[in-house]
Amino acid sequence: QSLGTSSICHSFPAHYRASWLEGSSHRERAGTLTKSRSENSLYACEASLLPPICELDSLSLSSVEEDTEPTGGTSVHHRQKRHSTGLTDKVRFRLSAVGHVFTGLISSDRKVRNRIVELAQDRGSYFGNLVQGFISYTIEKKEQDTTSTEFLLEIHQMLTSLGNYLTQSSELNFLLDLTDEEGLTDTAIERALHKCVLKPLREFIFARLLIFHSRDGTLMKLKENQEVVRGQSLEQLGVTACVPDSVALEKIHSKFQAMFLLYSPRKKITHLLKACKLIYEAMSANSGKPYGADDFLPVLTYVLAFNDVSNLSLDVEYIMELLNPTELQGEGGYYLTTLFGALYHIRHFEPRTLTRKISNEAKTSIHQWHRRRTLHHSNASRIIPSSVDLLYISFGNSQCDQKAIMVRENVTTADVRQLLAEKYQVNDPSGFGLFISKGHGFELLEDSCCPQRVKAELQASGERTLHFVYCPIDHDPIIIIFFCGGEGIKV
Amino acid sequence: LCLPLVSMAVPGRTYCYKVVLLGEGCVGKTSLLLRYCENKYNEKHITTLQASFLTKRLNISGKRVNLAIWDTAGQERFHALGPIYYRDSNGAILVYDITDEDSFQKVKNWVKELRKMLGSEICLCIVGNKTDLEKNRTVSVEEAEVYAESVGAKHFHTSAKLNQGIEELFLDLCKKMLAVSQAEEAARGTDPSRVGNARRGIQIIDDEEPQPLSNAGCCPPSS
Repeated sequence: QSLGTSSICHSFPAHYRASWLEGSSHRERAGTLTKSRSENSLYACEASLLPPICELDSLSLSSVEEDTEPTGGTSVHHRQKRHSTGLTDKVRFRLSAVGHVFTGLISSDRKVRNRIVELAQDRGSYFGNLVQGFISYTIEKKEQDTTSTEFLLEIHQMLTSLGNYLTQSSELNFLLDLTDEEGLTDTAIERALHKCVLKPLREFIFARLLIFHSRDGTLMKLKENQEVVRGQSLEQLGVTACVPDSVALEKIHSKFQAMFLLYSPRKKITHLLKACKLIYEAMSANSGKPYGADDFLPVLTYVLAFNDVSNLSLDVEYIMELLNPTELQGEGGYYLTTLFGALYHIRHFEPRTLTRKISNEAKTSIHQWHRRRTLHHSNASRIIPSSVDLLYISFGNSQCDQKAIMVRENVTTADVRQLLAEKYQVNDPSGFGLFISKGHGFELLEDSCCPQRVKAELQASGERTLHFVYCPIDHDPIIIIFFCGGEGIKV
Repeated sequence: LCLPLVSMAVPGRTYCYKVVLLGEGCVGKTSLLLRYCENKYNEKHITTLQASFLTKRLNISGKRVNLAIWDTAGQERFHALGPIYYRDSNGAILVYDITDEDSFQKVKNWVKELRKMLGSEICLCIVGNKTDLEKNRTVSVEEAEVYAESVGAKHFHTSAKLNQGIEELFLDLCKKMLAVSQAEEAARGTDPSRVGNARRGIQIIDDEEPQPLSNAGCCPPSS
């Protein structure tokens, strides 16, 4: 009897999965078995027609992946398409053609999935028995695995075996005949299996991973170093592009949070790509300049300093070990690798200033770093910056070129100036100062004072029309009054 | 069940290769990559905001090749992350700046590391970028070429700014990787036990109509 020919393609030798970092020692030509189909789906969703992000959802397979009825899914698809203003008719036509093809495929794809999920619930069937047996076995056996990798590996192997069984089982044959698209059937089987096995196990798996990594100390180290990273200036982190402001940081944070709550490794990847897209958007700050890894990794490190690195780290491990290895070669794999890399970098972070010859300048910056770090400790629970931390600063005389910058209460003018110099790409940062305009005058803020405190003091004294300006120090004949130390005002 | 794959595979094969881009920060890796990928075929398919991961489809004497190009961060502080990026690569492009001797030393370190970790299976290209700054050159052409040959790599000169030498570089790398795949296939032909392994280097898709290059990346999954 003829079965879908490429259905059994996930039976990789166990050691391929075994480890991510050390994997290179047993070199294989492994991941190159890439299904362009799956890669393209993510790729196309993020990239192909450059639609705004709301449309990306409708174009990607992620919308198909939602567990809604197919009719609901398509109507969303059509509705959002109508709103896509930037698309030409040709493109629109193309999209609608794609939509029709999808609708046809979705239904058979869904049939396959529903049938598998149904079977998995039926303890009377051989398959259902296997699935339910494995779930209870995994939950009940305790402390047998020595490493988290072994633990996840076993689950991955079970998924593989179940997939193999399904492609050969007579219980599914009539459905497989409905879909001549083998890749799609593979995907359908994989997704159904994730639903049957990973959905009920997700919470348990993360609890186990948490135990493993609390025990081996990696999470502790990660969190400690996150604090160190958070105390670094952008320059010390090697950031060369714009970084996300507090609004963008919050958006990214919620993407990561939502990602953590999913059970499907594929959907997690989709969320990861969206988070990365947000980061790139912030980096280019409307300049449209494309950035490579040299720029992205430092910014990602900065972003991670404000996120739940413990959950992210467990999530990365979960995805890496449970995602179909063929997915790891595509865009999703790249950004998963990058996220892993950034977390690794944080975990092993050493402030450079401590390892280099100490110049006077470095001494000052260590002093500042130490101060920030101490202050950050008391603020440890405040991971997400609130809007109170925002400072609106305009560049030169132009009021419209105003940017919202995240500035904590204890951050000094010197640090803000450095940040601004990078943001506005100022060639001569020492020639630029941060001024506060109040009433009719401009006042230069001294490097050692903290703009947020100055702002708070002035507001407390009834000043209403405050705004901050970043411009050349010798710009205009302006009244200059120095603020000192954030303690009060000396004239 | 694996066997039918082998027999049906010949006409409609697409070779998928992972290529990793290594080199110090500021040598122009990103510009090189952007030049190559946005230049001709798929202006539209790349989000304009990123140049860290790009794909490219080629057709080399009738053989379809999909390249996935992985950019890496070149700063010293990220050096330890190298292995997670280059694992499972079929090819590596090592870029230095012809006006910066240090960046060439860095390439040498990478070559050593790659050969140690991945052996001779990975195809290496060493690239002297920024030939538009020829007058400031500090790395001699001869030294670079002799070195490349000594480590079994091919040497190229490129200018991302002037768009010189880039097509040739990638084309040559692809040909090399194809040659490796074909050698593997030949070996597989005489040794059926290797079927499972060899499949990994090659993606097999149905023999559908040839995909026009201009559609690269925009095709819906089902096309």
